Amino acid sequence: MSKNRLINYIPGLTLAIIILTLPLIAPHQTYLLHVIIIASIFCILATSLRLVYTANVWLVGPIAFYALGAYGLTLLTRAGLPFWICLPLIGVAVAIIAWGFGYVTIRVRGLYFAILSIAFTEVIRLTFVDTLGQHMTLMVPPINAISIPHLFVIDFTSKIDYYYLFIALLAITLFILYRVEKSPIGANFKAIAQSESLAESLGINAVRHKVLALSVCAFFVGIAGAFFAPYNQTISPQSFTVGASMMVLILMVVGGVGSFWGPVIGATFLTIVPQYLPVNPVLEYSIYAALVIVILYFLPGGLVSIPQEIQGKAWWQKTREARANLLARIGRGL
Amino acid sequence: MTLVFINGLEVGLILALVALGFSLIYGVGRIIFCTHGEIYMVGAMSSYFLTIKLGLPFSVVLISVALGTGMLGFIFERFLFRRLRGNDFAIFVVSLALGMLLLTLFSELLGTQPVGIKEPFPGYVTFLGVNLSIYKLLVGLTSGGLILALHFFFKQARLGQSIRAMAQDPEAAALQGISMDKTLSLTFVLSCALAGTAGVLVGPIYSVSSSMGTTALMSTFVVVIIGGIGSFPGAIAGGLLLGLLYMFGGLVASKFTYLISFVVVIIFLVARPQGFFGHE
Repeated sequence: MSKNRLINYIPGLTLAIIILTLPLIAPHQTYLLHVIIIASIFCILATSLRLVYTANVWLVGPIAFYALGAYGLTLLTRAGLPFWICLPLIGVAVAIIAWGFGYVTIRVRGLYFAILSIAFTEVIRLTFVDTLGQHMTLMVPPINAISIPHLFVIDFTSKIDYYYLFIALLAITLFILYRVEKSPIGANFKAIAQSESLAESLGINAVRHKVLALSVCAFFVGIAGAFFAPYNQTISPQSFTVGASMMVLILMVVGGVGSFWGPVIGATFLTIVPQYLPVNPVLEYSIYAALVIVILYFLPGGLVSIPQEIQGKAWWQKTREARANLLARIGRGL
Repeated sequence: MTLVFINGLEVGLILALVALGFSLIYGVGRIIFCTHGEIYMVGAMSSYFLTIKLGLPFSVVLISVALGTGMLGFIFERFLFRRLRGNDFAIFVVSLALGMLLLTLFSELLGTQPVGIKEPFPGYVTFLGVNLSIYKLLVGLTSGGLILALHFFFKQARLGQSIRAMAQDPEAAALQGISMDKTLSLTFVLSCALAGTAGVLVGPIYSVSSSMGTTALMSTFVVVIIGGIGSFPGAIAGGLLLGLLYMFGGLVASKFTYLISFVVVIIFLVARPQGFFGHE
């Protein structure tokens, strides 16, 4: 098989090199860097959300966990704790909250759970609104500098520092989520999604697996929120609405739920392209909404399935099948 | 206290009207119609537009908005949901996206600031020792009357019976010659018209804004979970209960009414997931 050929890595490697050297090529394009940072955050959110959907849990957007991460970090760092100590605490705390929420509610299926997750998002937001005020924006202390004496200091004052931080975060998140999906646990998620009763008859604890998927998602989303807060410098409840939650869902669906890279493509595409289109930012949302309807109608596999749709099947699948057919015929002595 | 109680009933009846439509669509088509809150918003906002900007009389506004939102429901069912039937996830996401579309379009057209509508029938009556505006009384009577009318429609009228049959067992109903497509279209028209009417009715009492749809959708979810989704008396009981809860909760701890309603939902889901009147 051609799985390990060098040629398969060329597009990915090129992309990685472009992404890593972008600040060196264009150090003054701060807006472009900002857009890519936002895109990487949405990539993390959409990919984490997809993990939950592989276990057939209809979570409508992970923004509640995102808000918990962002607010938790802000409150802790304002209380005087250093950022790098808060970060793991926040991740674990948000995962535990998700575990608790999931443990109570995951027994209700499909649409009921979707309703509950919408309500959960709204309740989290309203709780912050009620305790901190509707238009109350909180200032977030900056990230503590990482420094190794006599070697280097990263003090997170320029966009480029944040750019590399978020790219690294995205890479780590994608790597771990990819490993989770390919692991036996990931296979269990898919088994539950296909037939829950059949999976349970094989000894897979469906409730525990679903709650696990939710917690893993919440962990990464919480961490992303914790990084977003100091990057944005201020946070306010208005950025954690149900609308934002649906936005993440839309990114995932537009990219394609069926494939691991679908949410990544959807998030990148829908974050970067509208920035360079001359549209009113309010109408942007209606374009997204219209786009998702069109996609679900005509391209159920999402953007990631465009090559297959155009060519019937992707060329590498075709050659692989042709070879397999040939081998099979030879095997039968024809 | 009586005033709070009456206000609670009032809000409850409006909530019941919205939740009835939502519950009806779920009962007949097994569709979670997340656009429902925004239809209510469309009703309220277009009544604002028609009364304030165009100066139309209230009765004309009420009828035209009911017809308009009903039409909207028909278009959604006929051209979007009919083709996606059977794919629950797609239906769910499309209904969310439609809600978002309506929300952004209306906030773009009419602004995001809350606006007030003048009460069309000024004057007060004294009722049970409290001063009550005539309009509020009329709203209570109208929504109560609508619910009664719906009850008789489902019990007596042939169309209403066909909707109930479809909700009970789609295949058996189809064998009796009831068309799934027509029944579902009718259900959508009816439900959306109800939500639009509720929006018009609520306009002069509270201020209307383009963000009211999302809140209404949350309340609808709570109502149908309390009452049992797809159940007619459940939607009414749940609506009234939640209306009273909002009003009395607002009296006690106004900051945490949403949290309280969420806790109620959790309690119901754990203790009685099918709601008051639902059955698994």
